[in-house]
Amino acid sequence: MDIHVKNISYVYQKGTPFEEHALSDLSLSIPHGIVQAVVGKTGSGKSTLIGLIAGLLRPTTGSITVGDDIVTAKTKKIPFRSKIGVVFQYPEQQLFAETVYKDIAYGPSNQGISKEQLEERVLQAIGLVGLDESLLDKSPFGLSGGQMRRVALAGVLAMEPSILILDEPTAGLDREGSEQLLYLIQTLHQQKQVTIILVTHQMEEVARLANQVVVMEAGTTAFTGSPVELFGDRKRLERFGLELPSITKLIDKLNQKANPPIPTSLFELGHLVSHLENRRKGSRS
Amino acid sequence: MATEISLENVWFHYYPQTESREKWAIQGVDLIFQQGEYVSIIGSNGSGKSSLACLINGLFIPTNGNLVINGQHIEDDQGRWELKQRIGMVFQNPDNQIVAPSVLDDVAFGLENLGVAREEMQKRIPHVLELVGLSGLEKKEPHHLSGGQKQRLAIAGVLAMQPDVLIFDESTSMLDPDGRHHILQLMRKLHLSGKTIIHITHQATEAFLADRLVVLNKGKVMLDQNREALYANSAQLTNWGLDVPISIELHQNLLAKGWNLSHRIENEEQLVSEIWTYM
Repeated sequence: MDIHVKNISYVYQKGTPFEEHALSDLSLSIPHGIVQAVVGKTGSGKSTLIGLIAGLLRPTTGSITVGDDIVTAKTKKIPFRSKIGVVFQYPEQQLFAETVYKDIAYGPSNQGISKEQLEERVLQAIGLVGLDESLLDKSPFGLSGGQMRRVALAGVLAMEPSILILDEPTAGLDREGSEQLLYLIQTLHQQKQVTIILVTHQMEEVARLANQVVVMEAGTTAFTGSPVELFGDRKRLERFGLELPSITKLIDKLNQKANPPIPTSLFELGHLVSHLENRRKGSRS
Repeated sequence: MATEISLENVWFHYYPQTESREKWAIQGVDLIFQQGEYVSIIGSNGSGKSSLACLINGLFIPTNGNLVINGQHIEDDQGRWELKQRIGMVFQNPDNQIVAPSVLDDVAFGLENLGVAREEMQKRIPHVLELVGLSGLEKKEPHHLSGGQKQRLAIAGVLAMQPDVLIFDESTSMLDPDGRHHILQLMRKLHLSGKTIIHITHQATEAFLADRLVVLNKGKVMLDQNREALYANSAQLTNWGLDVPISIELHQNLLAKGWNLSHRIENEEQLVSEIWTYM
């Protein structure tokens, strides 16, 4: 299911003194099965954009197409809502049920499936997020922060969305928690061919995961392209107020003394190590 | 004024009556913080960082062991009350720390509770707002500020009480890069003005801005070293689920591939120059 956002604008509380233009004339195409990163400062319109793609908001003008379904200001029932899973910021704050099982089962139980199917979905989802089935009878509130977040994610995955929107999924997690979650996102993307829309402030995540990145500025797109293109233009990046991934910063430092320079398209440490190894072998032979 | 903080064999248990050894949040910690130091306390989720912060400023009372300030044991409520004026705390979520309907009132709130005279408040408030870069926003409603501005407002409220020591408990983790950058700059500025800065974080890039780093794991101090020494030892940090700067990961990887580099690297510049020399 490709996503096409065409010339949309969105105005909060239109026609009141509190009227606020959140998005204006924004267009964006997200082909099915990619990881799309959305970056930009606080207040640039990221959350409004994902609210629109998720079918939680209707555009004031313009249209959003997901697969064969189209949504405009006049659309009454948004047809694709159930195909899109949204994991909001700090999703662990939305856990509510007395057991992990009930929490994960809540979403799919509203999708009209049989009890057996429901159980299968819950078991599959908890496996996907890498938690032990023994936790299913436990209260979600006794788990660690990282575990709670994975339960919340399992609840969304159990609805088997074709498109998964993640709003700053690693915020507040330590290295281990973040690494596990990023690995999980990569696995989901590869195994289930789910389209991932990742809202993040972490440029390392953009570099490592994204196929395409959009930079939001004042309610519209200031850049759309690949991470390599984005991080390739330092001046533009600075103008967007974005940081370089730390591996790129390190390559920049190495390049002050390197001729020819190391390509800045290397975003994995393993690739940088291989590059240096090859150069060393070249220089010794 | 100067405040020297000393934790002597401090143990802390959230439910001391249900004594089980694993549940000790803090286990036998000895630490001294001198006036004017800039220290980072790093540890993964659940390592006891926040418990330690609350013990330092008297919000929690040690189950065993002592908190000693300038040689005086802190034992009663009076002592802890005075402590909270010397040691200010900035938390993770600025929304939880803002109480008043305007920026000005919010900074004044703490001072009113301390019974500071109005004339004195009129001197202090503009000074701290300028320090955190919020001058001119006095009348603004706090919920209209950005996340980073809110956090600076929270810091202004703490600074107005003129503490010697500021504890930042994951105070940058909910902010965007701009907001984070401002808070980190502010920490450095406050450190240069003579305040003790204790920064609790799990982000290596932020922790390594401090002069001294304390590594906490399962309630125990694993390492307590200056920046250069810890940088040289920092491959160990991954053992405790912590982030290490990428240059250290590169160094470890190249050593493993048999590169003849120094085993002790104290900063990125040294690594870069050794890599090209070796090439």
